[in-house]
Amino acid sequence: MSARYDVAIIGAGLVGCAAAFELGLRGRRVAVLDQGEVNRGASGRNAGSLHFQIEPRMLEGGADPQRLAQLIPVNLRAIEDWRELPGRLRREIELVMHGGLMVAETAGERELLVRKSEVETRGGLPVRLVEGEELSRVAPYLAERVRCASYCTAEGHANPRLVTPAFAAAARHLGGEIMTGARVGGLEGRPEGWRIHIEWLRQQSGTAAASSLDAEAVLVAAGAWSPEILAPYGVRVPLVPVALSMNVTERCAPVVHHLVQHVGRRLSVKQVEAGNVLIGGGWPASLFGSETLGPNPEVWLREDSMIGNAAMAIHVVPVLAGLNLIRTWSGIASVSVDHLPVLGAIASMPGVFIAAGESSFTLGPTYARLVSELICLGQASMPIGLYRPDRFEPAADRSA
Amino acid sequence: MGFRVTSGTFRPDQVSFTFDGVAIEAYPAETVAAALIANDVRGFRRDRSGRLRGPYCNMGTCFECVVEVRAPARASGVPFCDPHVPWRTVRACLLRVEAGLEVRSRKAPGIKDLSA
Repeated sequence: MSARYDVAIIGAGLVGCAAAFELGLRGRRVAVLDQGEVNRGASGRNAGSLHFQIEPRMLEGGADPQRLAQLIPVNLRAIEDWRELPGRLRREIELVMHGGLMVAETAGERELLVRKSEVETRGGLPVRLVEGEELSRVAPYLAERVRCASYCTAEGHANPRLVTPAFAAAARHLGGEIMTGARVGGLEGRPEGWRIHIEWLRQQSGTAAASSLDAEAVLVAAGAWSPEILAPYGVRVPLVPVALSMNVTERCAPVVHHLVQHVGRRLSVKQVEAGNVLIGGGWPASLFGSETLGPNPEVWLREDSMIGNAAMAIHVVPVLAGLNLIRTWSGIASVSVDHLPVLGAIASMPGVFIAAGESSFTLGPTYARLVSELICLGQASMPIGLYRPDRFEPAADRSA
Repeated sequence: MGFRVTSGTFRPDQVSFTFDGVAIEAYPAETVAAALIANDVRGFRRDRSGRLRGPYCNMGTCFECVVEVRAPARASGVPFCDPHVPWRTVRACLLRVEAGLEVRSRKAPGIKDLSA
C-alpha cells in the first residue's frame, strides 16, 4: 500500500520547497520528489537578483501599457513576500533590498525607461528616474556613458544557495518529506487522486523505499524539466529550456551598492555580502541533448559569453576591470514566448497543478504562495489568469 | 630561512623589483614567490582576521600567496599589463619577476581595495 499525502510536489527547487512550506503552514501533508538534489537546478545556480521593475524583454516591440500594467501586481506582492521571508523562515538567506538601477545609455533607451517608469509609478511600484548629478551621487561607480537609470528602492538580492535550503528546512520542520534521487516514473489517475510511481536513481539508506505514493493533488514545480513530466499525458507545457551562464569575481571592498541592470543589454551586476561581484544577465551556455533533459543534461560553458558578459559589466561599472573572475557556471532556466511563468491548474488532469518558468527566483516565493492558495482554497488571492498553462492553446480546445 | 642553491650554478645579472616599496633583488626566471622567500619575506598578505599568510603549495593551487602587482608599461613577461588596471591580483608563485615590477600585499585584510 502506498503512503498517502495531501499534496505531492515534483521538484525540490525554490518553488517546490516554498510550496511545501506554504502547504505545510496550511496543515497539508506534503511530499516533495526530486530526481536530483534539493536546489540543484536553476534555483541554486541563478545570480540571486531580486528585480521588480518591468523587465527589458517585456518592452520589446513596443508592448502596450495596459499589458505592462498587468505585470505589476505580482511584483508588488513579491516585494512584500521577500520582506517577510527572513522572519517567516527564521534562517539566514543574505537578503538585501537596498535598491536596484536599470541603466540607459542612449536617448532611445532613456525613452524606454521613461515609458516603463510611468506605467510602474501608476501601478504603485516604487520606481523613479534618476539622472545627471543625482545619478552620480546615488551610484558614483557607474560609467559616465550611463546617462540615466530607473531606480527601484525595493530591489536587491538574496543568496540562491541559502534560500531554497531554508524553505526546505522550514517545510521539513512542518512535517514535509523531501525525497531526493526520486524520479517520477508515471502519474496514474485514481478515484481519490493520483498515484505517483517512483524510480529511485540512487540506493536509499535504511528501509526499502516505496515504489509509489498517493496524493490528492500534484504540483509540478520542476522548472525546465516540467514539460517532460507532463508530456506523456498529452499536456503541452509552454516552456523551453535555456542554459545561461553566470560569473563571479574575487572579493573586494564594497563598491557596487545596488542591483544594476541594463535596459538595452544583457547585464546584471551586484556585490554580495562577502565582497564578490556577481555578473550575469542572460548570457547563454550551450545545452546539448534531445527532446528531454533527463537527470544530467549536458551543458557547456561558452568563452564568448564569459568574455562578453564581463566586458559588458566593465562597460557599465569600469572599476570592475581591476578584478579577476574566479568562477563561471551555468544553470538551466525555462522561458516562454510571452516571458510569463506557467502557473495554474492543468485542465485535462484534475488535481494536477503547475508552477514553473520565468523569474522563478525573484517571484518564486510568490508563485508558491499563489499556487498553494489555488490548491487549498480553489482560488488564488490575486488574478493569475495571465499565467494559465493553456494560454497558447486554441480557445476551442480549452475545457473549463 | 630561505636560501638559493649557489654551487655549480650559473646565474645571469640580478633584476630589481619592489615589495611594499622595498627593493628586492632577484634573478630572472625566478617567481615572485621564490624571490620573496629568498629575501626572507614570509607574510605575503593578511587574511580576514588580520593574520599573515604566505605560500603553501607553491604551484598555483592554494592561492595563499596572492599579491597585487603593477607592471611597468613595457614589461614583457606580464600578460595583464593594462594601463587602466593599475593593480592586478596574482598568485606570486606563478608570476616571474621583471625589472621594475611593483608588488604589494593587500591593504585591507583579505580583500581587494579598488580605490587604492
